[in-house]
Amino acid sequence: MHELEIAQSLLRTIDDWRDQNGSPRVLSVRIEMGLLSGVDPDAMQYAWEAACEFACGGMMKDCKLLIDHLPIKYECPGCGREFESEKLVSACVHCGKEYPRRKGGRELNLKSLEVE
Amino acid sequence: MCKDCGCDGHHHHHHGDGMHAHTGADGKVYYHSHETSTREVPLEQAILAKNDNTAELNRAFLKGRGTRTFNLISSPGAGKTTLLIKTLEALKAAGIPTAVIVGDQYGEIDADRMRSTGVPVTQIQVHDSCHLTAQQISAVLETSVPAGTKILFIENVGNLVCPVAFDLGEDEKIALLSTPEGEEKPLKYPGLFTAAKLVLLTKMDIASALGWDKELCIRNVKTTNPQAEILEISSKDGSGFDAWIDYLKHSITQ
Repeated sequence: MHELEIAQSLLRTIDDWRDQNGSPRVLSVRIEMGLLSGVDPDAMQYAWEAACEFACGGMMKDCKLLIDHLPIKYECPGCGREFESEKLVSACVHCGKEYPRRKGGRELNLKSLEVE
Repeated sequence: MCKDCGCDGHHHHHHGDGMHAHTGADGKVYYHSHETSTREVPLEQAILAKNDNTAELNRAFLKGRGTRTFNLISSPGAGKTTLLIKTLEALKAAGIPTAVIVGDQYGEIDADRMRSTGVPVTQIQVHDSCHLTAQQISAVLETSVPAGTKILFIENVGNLVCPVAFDLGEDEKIALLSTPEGEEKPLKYPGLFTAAKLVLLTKMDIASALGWDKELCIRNVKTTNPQAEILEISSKDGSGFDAWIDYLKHSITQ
């Protein structure tokens, strides 16, 4: 259940940003996560709602968390082509060569805020 | 009183742009608009940036001490502590100074077991948390790693998922996968196996009794991480230990 700590880390960053930017109300927060980030989207939503309840003096209550899921990117050392996949693969989807090189998949980033 | 926020501080109304400002009880000036226009503010950054920054400081400190650091991660009961006791003894015999930081939810059981080797061991109790953070490591780093330490082992909280997200400042993550856990863990919990440089297959002494399929397990590790090095090891009968100790010795001469 490290999602709660991730939600709290997100809120600290947003709190700092609000302090420096006139404390506007934040309506939604957009994050992106890779399939291998180890973060469960349902647990993340649950943790977000719990963490927002009293964060920033109540100013984050009802703030929505929007999650973009990033596919895993691969590059094949055989045919040199790149491709994306929604799951782990052990062979190139183009030429079938085993064990294409994985690029990313573990992303866990804050993308943007929607503010009033 | 402001009908939007309930404050009773000083008000400045900026007619025309809809902005409204007041000084809050904390002395800060707050602005908000009575219009409902919204805007998108791009903020490209890692969510765990604060942890990552502390981890970088830990890494710099350890590099400055000439210490190579391994973050050992596995599910509970995969054999991290037993592996470490035998490893600490072997490295001691080889004249290589080591130190250990171990995380558990409660108690000093693991630390006490490892202290029997004479190696400095620091126990961190994480209580209701499920992983170590860079901040927790930072707080004990100076007292836990004596000058001249060549290898620091961080034994993370037994958990296959959560510890992976938190960089501690290590040089490498090492995953332990014990044969009783079966062959499919790398596919079901790929996060750790994609992040680990080395995967140790532990409890090899009981593999045949379990009917554990080595080829399948190795294929599953390779599917999640084709670059991972894989070593088979048993802390009980000592098989595979020479290769493991060589791996460690080689890593500190790089």
